[in-house]
Amino acid sequence: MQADEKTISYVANLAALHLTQEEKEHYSRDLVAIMNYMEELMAIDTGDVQPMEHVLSIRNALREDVASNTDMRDKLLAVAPKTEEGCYLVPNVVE
Amino acid sequence: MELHQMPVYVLAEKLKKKELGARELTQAYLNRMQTFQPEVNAFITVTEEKALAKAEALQKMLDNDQGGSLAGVPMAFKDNMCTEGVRTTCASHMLENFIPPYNATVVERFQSAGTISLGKLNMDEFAMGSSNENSFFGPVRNPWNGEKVSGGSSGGSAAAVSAGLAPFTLGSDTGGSIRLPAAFCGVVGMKPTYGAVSRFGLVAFASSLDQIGPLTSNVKDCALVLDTLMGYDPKDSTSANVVHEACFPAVTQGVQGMKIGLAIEYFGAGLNEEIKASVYGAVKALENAGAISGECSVPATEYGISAYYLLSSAEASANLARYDGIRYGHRSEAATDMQELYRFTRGEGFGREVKNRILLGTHALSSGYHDALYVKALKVRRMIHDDFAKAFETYDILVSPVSPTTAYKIGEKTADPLQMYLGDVYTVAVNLAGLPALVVPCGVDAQGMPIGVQLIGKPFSEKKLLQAGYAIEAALGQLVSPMASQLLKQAEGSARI
Repeated sequence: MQADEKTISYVANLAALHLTQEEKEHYSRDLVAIMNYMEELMAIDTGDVQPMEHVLSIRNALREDVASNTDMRDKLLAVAPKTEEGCYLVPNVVE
Repeated sequence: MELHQMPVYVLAEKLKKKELGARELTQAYLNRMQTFQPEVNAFITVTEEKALAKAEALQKMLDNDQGGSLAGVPMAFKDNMCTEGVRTTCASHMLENFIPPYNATVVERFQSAGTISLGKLNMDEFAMGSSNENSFFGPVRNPWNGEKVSGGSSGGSAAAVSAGLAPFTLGSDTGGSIRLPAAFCGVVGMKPTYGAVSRFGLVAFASSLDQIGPLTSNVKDCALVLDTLMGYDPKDSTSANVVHEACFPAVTQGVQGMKIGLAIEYFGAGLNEEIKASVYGAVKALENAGAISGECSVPATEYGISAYYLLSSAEASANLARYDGIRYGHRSEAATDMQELYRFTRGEGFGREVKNRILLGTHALSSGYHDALYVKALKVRRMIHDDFAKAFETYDILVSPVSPTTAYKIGEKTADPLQMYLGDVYTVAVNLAGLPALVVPCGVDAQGMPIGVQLIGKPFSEKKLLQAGYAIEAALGQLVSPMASQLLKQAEGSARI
């Protein structure tokens, strides 16, 4: 990995993560060391090994179409930082 | 014997026989907390009033011969398990004031069993760390030596048991987060088979690796707690729909004829000699009890660290995308538009190591690197899985060290994340392969710090691991930390039976 500040800024933007200048310098140092170590993976012959996302054979977990949760709207809205009239409040998105 | 030194299975019996009151027991732990919690920082939140009220309610049930299997026994949850009405912080500024509107399934299970929650335990932020130094609420201090780390990320869970501040606790393990602190603090810890314990209500770190498990002072307690913990949950799509045989009644059945494998990759360069000797001592104890040992190899585990940190960080970067400042958690006051709201909220809310993992994981999943990094790591994951499966064709259990060193000084490794990651070299492969693993204390080093041994089993072989763990404990004894040996002055409310 090229972990210069430009790359860090690009990745941080993908992750919607604001970083200070000091943080960018810091992470470009740390991530270079980590990525250099991980270069070892490139040397492994993985041939036709199939990728393994999960150890269990995952299937869709289906259930009967019956409502099981009680109405939690007020409880869920109560933990939001800003709400108004039963809605989440966000900054203006349409001019 | 002091109340805080009694095993869970003894406490549960005494409560049922009315030889002991739930309130008296809960108060004894709260009293110890007043003295020792400021020293170890094992708890983020102590729920004293709720605990005492619960103790009153449970005592009424016990008086009428009612209540679950663990009625009246105090315990505590790692602070990444959702508790309705009690804040669940994940040791992060992001969730500093988050009060969940529902309970995790494991919380429900222990409420049904009649346990009393003493509070929420300290941890590395979002469970990302190996030393419990990445907590927004400060590091956990090792009850054996306050200058040393507790291990992480379930440092509070291990330290609380080790210091005698809770009879048992629950932790979570994504790459060693139960086993490392168990070894560093001299307690028993189990990472169950992936899918054996519900993850519903566990704040997600890396969903294909995370698993909740118990930390206890002895192996029998571990089995007892595990019997309440394991079970199918329709609310977790990765929950395994299997019938779990009760572990507790089988713990003392012995290891006669059990085949124990020593993987050569786990005893190579970098392993501290005292730890190596101690682990061999545990193997000897198993042999003396009738087990047969031999050498084996799991070659791909050598690449475990690289594969684990790529995959866990990739999953974390996706899981942590949910912290947007809108539905719950921290929200930046500085933002003027949506993009700023996301970016500033996350920049302010996450700590240093969490950001490091998000960056690493986002990079591994980004266009141009996805195949070379993420998919490559997934292939190595299968190689590790297959190597273990091959070893288990011959052996019942693999025995290994837990960590290359015992607990180190607070601050010693924080400047170098790679060095910190390398400390997980013996634990991460177990998560990648979805296997169960038990850690049992097996000695102390020259500095008086605990050493643990790791027993790795086939999927759903928890019972066998506990039988082997019990044989080691029976031969080598339990460890008791200096802090757990320390009694309160009578005036401070210490209770004796």
